[in-house]
Amino acid sequence: MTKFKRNKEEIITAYIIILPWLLGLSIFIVGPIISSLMFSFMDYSIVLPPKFIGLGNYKRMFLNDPLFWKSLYNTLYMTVIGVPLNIVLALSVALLLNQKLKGEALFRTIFYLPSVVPQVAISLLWMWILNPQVGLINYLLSLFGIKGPMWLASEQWAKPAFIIMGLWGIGGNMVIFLAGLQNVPQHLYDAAIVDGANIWQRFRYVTFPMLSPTIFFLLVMGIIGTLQIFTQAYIMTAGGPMDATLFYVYHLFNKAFRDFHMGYASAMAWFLFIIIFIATIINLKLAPKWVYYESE
Amino acid sequence: MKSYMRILILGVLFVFSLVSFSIVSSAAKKTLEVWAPGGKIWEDTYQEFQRTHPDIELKFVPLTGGFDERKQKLLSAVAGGVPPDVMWVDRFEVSQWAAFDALTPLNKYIPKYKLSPSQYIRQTWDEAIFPWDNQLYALPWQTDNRIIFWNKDIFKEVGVNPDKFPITWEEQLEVNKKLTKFDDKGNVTRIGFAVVEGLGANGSEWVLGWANGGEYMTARSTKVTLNHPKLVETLDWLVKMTDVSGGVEKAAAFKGTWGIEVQAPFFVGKIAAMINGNWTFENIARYAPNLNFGVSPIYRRDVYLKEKKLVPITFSGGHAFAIPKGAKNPEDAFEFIRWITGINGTRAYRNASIAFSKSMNRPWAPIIFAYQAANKESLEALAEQPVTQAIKDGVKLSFDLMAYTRFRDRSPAALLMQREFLGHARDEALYHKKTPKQALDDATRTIQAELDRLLDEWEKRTGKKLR
Repeated sequence: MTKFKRNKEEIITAYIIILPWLLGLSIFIVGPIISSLMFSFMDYSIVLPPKFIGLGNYKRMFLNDPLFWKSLYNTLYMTVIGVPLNIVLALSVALLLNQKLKGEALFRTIFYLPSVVPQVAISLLWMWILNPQVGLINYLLSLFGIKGPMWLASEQWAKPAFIIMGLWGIGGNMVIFLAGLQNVPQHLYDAAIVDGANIWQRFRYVTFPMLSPTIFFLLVMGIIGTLQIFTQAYIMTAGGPMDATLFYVYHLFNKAFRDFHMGYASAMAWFLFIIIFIATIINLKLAPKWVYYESE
Repeated sequence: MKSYMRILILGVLFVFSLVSFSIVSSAAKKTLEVWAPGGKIWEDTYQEFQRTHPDIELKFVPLTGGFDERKQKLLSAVAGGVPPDVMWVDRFEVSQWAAFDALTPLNKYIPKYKLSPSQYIRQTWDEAIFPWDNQLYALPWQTDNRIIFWNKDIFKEVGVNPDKFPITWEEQLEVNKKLTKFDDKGNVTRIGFAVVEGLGANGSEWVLGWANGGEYMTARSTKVTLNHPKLVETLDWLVKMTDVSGGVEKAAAFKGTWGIEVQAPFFVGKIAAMINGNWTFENIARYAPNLNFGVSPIYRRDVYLKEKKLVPITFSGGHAFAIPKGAKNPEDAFEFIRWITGINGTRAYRNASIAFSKSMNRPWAPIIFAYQAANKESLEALAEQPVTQAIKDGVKLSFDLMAYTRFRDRSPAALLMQREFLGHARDEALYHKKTPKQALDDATRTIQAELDRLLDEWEKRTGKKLR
């Protein structure tokens, strides 16, 4: 009996201790999630009371808002091209930096450094690097006799410019790959060498399978992150030129906070959630075909 | 364990008592919560209010962040039912706030305080009226306008008369061609006459449209007329003007090389002439006091073509003070906004800004207040300032131009209009993606659809009929 009482007291204490977190979670996360779902079926201008309009917001989104499709296209473009490129490059750099070389720590630091720079600072810096007249990139291109594009001022090149800029930040992924590479047991390589595997075969049949869980993780996180891309466009291009960098979340932001269409923006947010959800499910379904877990 | 619990409970009780105490004590005193800009000049101004209004306890919360951030903060406060008593708003947004019922109409205070629209610059007062219900929702504080600035030395250098700015579009296009310069790789190194906002100009599209006889909306803002033939014609000219620099992409690339302050493009000869705001005068005084510049009003093209007469026109924006819906202390709030926009508040602000400039060892030039009598005092104060006669004359001209000014059409879709027009339709034309007509037709449809939605909602809610 006394033991039970003490347990009860402990339980209460535990709840009191986690109460701040629990309150924070329910008030600031679960609450808004539920209300945004409700608002997505309402006409809600924030200041006026919401009004139920059924699927009105979703209908308007799919049928009457060309910018919705444009912003979705822009975002998928960034995801489909940017994410794989980022992973391939991060993996390549990680493989290079995994060599036992003099000064490897220094090189790793250099490659990782951009990842600790805030997004806003990166954006401002890259506006200079990408400047067609005096920027570094076009200067380097001009050394090879190439006339560089107009980058952020060009409708065709603005998105590629953002992708290139994103590659500067591969440091984070690179570190994760390096950690993954440390976990590949040396004896597998030894066995492969004994079997006469060349460097490509060692990568293809040892490194890649052993790293596949890491690649999978970075792919999933990369897709989720890129689908929510916002800051760069907000600071550098304001969505332009001609909506070429109007990304999904930027359009959502315009609708919510500039036009006061919180209901519509909520619907957009939920549609984005569905896209991310489906993308993740597909990833998970495809995973067994190429991701190798040692424990299996 | 038990004592631990006791401490926890005591802690919670303590926090609760603090909260309830502060609620009780704040109810006992007559406080006035004001969300407005901060900084030395403003704080001095608020202090003057506090000194002259000892019965009101002014609680000032500085607005930080950019335009978007400020708007979000106000929006959440109003939506949450805890708005400040006074808030500082962009006048061009007043109608959007009013349409969503976020502001208190001020009409009932006007007779009580013997206010009259004639005390203010008429256009700034009108801009604070929501055209759907004709109620006043804010008192205008400050304003600005747009004029043509040019660098006389560059004009001389290329052989253009430096003392008179060309008047017709054809002449201006010619001069633009003469003044625009490229390097041997074909990069722009100087824009001749900047008339596109963001590419060296400010507010130019709006005023040029009016100057050509165009209208962006009908009088009560129920119909969008952005594809008005005169506006199409204006955009077409803007495209031609931009193509002078080899197209908008080249101009945008050039813009990336511009600096600010002493390195601002107009001060270092990267722009030969531009349509820009009256704030440029103070910047010239501060960053380029030796600049040999000329100023001219923008003239009505429609009147000139018909009667060969020069009638100026300009475009004004600015800020205002409003009382949010649900403000707890609207009476004192009105006293505050009347005071701060009136003769005493503007005087306090001017004195503080002169003192501040002096303490920073900077030249001073006045802003334009919405309150008429304040501007007379500002010009008197300017006369005593150690700035060049050219600055003084220019400021005087910009003050005089307020009689001819216009403001962007007031509507809850004003922000969308701005985005669709300048961020969208204009760019589609400048990039030669659509003809000016197509671009403006499309934008008109988009804005009208949004406006209709807003009108439907507003008519249903208020029971009034506008269409």
